[in-house]
Amino acid sequence: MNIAKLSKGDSLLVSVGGRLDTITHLDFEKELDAILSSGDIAGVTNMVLDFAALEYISSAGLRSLLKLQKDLNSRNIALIISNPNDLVIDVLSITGIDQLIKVDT
Amino acid sequence: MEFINMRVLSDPHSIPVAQAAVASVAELCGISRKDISKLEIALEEAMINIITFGFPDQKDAYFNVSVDISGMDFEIIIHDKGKPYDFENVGDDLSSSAGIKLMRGLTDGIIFKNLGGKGREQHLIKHLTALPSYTKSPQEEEVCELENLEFDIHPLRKNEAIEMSQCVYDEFGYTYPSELVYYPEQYYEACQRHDYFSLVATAPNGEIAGHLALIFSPHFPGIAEMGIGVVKKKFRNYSLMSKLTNEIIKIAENDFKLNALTAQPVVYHPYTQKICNKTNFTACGFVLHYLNYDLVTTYDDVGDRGNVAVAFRLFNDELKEIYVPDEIRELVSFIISLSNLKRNISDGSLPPEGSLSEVITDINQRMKIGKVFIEHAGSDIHSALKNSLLATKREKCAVVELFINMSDACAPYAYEKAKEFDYFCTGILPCTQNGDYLTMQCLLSDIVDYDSLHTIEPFTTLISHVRKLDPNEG
Repeated sequence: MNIAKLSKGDSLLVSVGGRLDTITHLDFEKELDAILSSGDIAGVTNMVLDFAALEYISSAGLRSLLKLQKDLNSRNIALIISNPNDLVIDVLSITGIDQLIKVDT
Repeated sequence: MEFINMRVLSDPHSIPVAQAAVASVAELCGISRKDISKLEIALEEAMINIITFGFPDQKDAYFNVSVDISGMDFEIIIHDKGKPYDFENVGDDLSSSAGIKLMRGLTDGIIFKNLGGKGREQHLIKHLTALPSYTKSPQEEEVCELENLEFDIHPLRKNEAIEMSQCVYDEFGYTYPSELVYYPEQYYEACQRHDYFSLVATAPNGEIAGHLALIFSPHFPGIAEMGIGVVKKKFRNYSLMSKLTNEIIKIAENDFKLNALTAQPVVYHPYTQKICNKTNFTACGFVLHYLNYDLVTTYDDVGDRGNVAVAFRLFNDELKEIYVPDEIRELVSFIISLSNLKRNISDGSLPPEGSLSEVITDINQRMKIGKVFIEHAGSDIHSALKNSLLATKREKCAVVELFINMSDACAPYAYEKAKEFDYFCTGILPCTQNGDYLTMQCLLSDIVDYDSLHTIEPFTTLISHVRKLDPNEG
């Protein structure tokens, strides 16, 4: 799994590539915690997770997303998922995560 | 058909390894890359269930992941013996229920099986849209279509033993109870000792086309079992088994001067029973939970247990008195009436106080079948039966056959004592030089599904008698 971040006005764009699964989800959480602790989050109203390069997500990854959303909510920052592939769309839909987190296809 | 079976460490790092193996098999089955990814996610969810809830504190536990392809279904089976946990009824919150929702939503079906002491299974099912290419039947061996092909039928020669053994394996796998047949040199030597008489049919080019044997038992002099019958597929248009059967019957009667020949037609279809009826073999009993003839390819795997009938063809008989328990008079009389055996049925008597039984116990350790022979029942028959049954249980036998010599006046007494150990009558084995035997069985590991047996008359009437006597039928 690899993560890259890019700031654009009041949106923080974080691209997530590879797999978000049982083994990698803790690294994902660590990286996002580091971003949230850094100065990059000041003045941000949206965090956009760009999933264009994300091939695979399991329930472990979804739990990390919900944890991230909870953290962002406490900071009044909205979480948006963008460019998920068909498989990720199916996963988000089957579990109902797409009703909790905005998904931008 | 089980394609792969992996034993995996209960650790999250096993997940991608198992996924890669399953994905390879799925690709072979023509499943799309997208559907393979879905199966991978479902598999991760199933495996993490076990790692988290089944073995929460164990770093060195293992569980199994296998792939089974049957019909049009690709099935991933995850079997564990971890802590009991109800994977299906999880909390309603999204975090807890995501895994089960993904397993349901990304597959064509899931099944959870609680196997009690044998653990649990999670089944993930994907319907195939086309059979994978490797399941196509292998090219049928060229069928020999020459007319008037002359076969040479003769006793087995030493240089034919290996090819004969290969023919038996091709037909029966490793399920044949006469295990010597899988050791060609030893089998040939056994034929020289007259433990077996092997008849082969060879094609003009010397290739073995078929085989049939007489199997002699030291416990039953005067009779032999006709078995180890096989004809290669390419030669099945020549009535070769019929020719071998006719020849071996002549040899049994005229050369070996046997009193009778026995055969064991199967009961998962009626065809060999029909052949018995046509060739003057008379139904006389059954051997239940013996073995089945599905191909078993490893020596130690005896496969699931199945059932066979027993029939005999009479060559030579004389009037005899036999002692038959009341309860089975009808069954024995039925067999006698079918076969024209000359028998006077008598009541029997109790053994004298202090008299000793003659009991022999014989255990086939590979097949896990025990055989107990009672030549004479003394007043100690109860303890003799108990000791022999204990010996078979110690060897983890699944089935015990009991043979009670009905020329012994105490045979009915032995029968009643045997019933106390859950033995039940399965027929008779007549015409040995030592007398007729009442056959009984004790099933140590399973019960018989009588409704699944395919029999024709007179086997049907006979099995209905046996069924009434089976204590497991209540």
